[in-house]
Amino acid sequence: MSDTGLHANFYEQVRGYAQQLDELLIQLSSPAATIHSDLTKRVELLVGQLREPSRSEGIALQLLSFQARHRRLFSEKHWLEIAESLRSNSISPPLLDRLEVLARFLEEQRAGAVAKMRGR
Amino acid sequence: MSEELDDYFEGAIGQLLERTRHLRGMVPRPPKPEFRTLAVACNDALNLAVEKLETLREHSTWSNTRAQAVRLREYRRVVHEIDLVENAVVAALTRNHKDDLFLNQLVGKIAEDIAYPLVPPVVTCLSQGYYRIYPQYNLLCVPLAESRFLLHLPDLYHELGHAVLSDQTHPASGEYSQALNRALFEVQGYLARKKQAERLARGPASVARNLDLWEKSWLESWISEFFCDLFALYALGPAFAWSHFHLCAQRGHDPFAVPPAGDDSHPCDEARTNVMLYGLGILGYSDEGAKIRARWERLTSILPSPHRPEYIRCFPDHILLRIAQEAFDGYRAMNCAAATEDRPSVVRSRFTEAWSRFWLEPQRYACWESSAITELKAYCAA
Repeated sequence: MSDTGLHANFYEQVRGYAQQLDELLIQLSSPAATIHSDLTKRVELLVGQLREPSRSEGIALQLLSFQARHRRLFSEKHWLEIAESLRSNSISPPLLDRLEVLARFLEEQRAGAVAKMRGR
Repeated sequence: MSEELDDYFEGAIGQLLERTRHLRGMVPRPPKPEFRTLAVACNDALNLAVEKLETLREHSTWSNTRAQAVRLREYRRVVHEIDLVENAVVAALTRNHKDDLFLNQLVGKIAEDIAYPLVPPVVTCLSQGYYRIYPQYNLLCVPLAESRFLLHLPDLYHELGHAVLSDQTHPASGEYSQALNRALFEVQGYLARKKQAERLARGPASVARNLDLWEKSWLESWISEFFCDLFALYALGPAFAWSHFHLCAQRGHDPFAVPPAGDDSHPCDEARTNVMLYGLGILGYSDEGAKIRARWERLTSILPSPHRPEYIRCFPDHILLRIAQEAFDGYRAMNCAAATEDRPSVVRSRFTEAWSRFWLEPQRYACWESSAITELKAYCAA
């Protein structure tokens, strides 16, 4: 009974979140780029779900949220500031820095899932 | 700095593009009928990889420092995808063996028997590490010689459970995921109460750390593993529980060890066995369950474990029973057929008979199995 099937679902979901966030980071970092409000909303939703997942959220989100809390990724204040900045389109260097921290966290979780799928 | 990385990406991505071209050329044309869906998934994945690589190669997109970090992350994601396609998907497609044909037919029969809600996975005998499923490609890998022996084939049902849990958007399989969420809520409530009690008691810090470890393990793997075991049990019946006994006897460790002493990727074997015994009771197989329990206790008595007290805290009976019940409700909500006496199935009968023969006449089992598998192959091919 494999580790592959167990971790593949988590891997796919984390990869999806990581790609969305990286896409937004590219848009926000480029002065000429158009910021797509749909993408910003999706990342804002993700931030809210990671801060406090509801009972009906899938296991992947609940596990990510658990890991983020355990690592003390952000304080409650910072989670709320990130969400508010995205909601109001207030793009600033501190926001970009925090989104980069979140992106690295998601990448670390994705790589961890890959290792577990390989049985390491 | 950016130019140095541009040179690296230019060379490395160029080579990767060549690799994906080569992999596309390796896919048989036309693919065998049983492998058509896998071939389509393979081509789609490689086409997407090529698109992403072309974007990564375009230097102007990645000109600032922050973009370089994104570029590296995306590059690593694409590399992993290509690895997976090469080592699992193309490998399965290029293998041309009658053993794979039989197992695909067998999984097709199982899917019909149990009214499996999804498209059955493609099967290949190319696993190097026991049974494994790649839900994103709907590809199930089993060990090389597995098609010739009956005792572990019930694990096919467990892997089907993983595929079900991976597709939460499907209206039928989504019911099973919702049942899992309900069970998980009960587990989290239990752990929260334990943590609260520890905080008030101000006991050793290690106890609180263990509770955190367990919560992570439940989220990461345990609840899914229980639900996959129960999917298999409710679909096949006692033969799956016997197959699990066999797996533990062959490859198990301390059956009571929980983290940090034990593996965190799967629940310990005592917990898995107990959940299955509860499930057998729900299905109406209490007598067979009692036989399995007797054999299990004999097996676990051979090597005494120091971890029983922690096991009881980690996997209390009321939680295991709740998991078994929620999984049964979820299984039924998918309108899948349960392994009850009034629903005949040639495949289920054969797996059940295998274990009856094994215990009745173990010295003759191997000989019986040889002709039984031939008959099963003929049935599946018809």
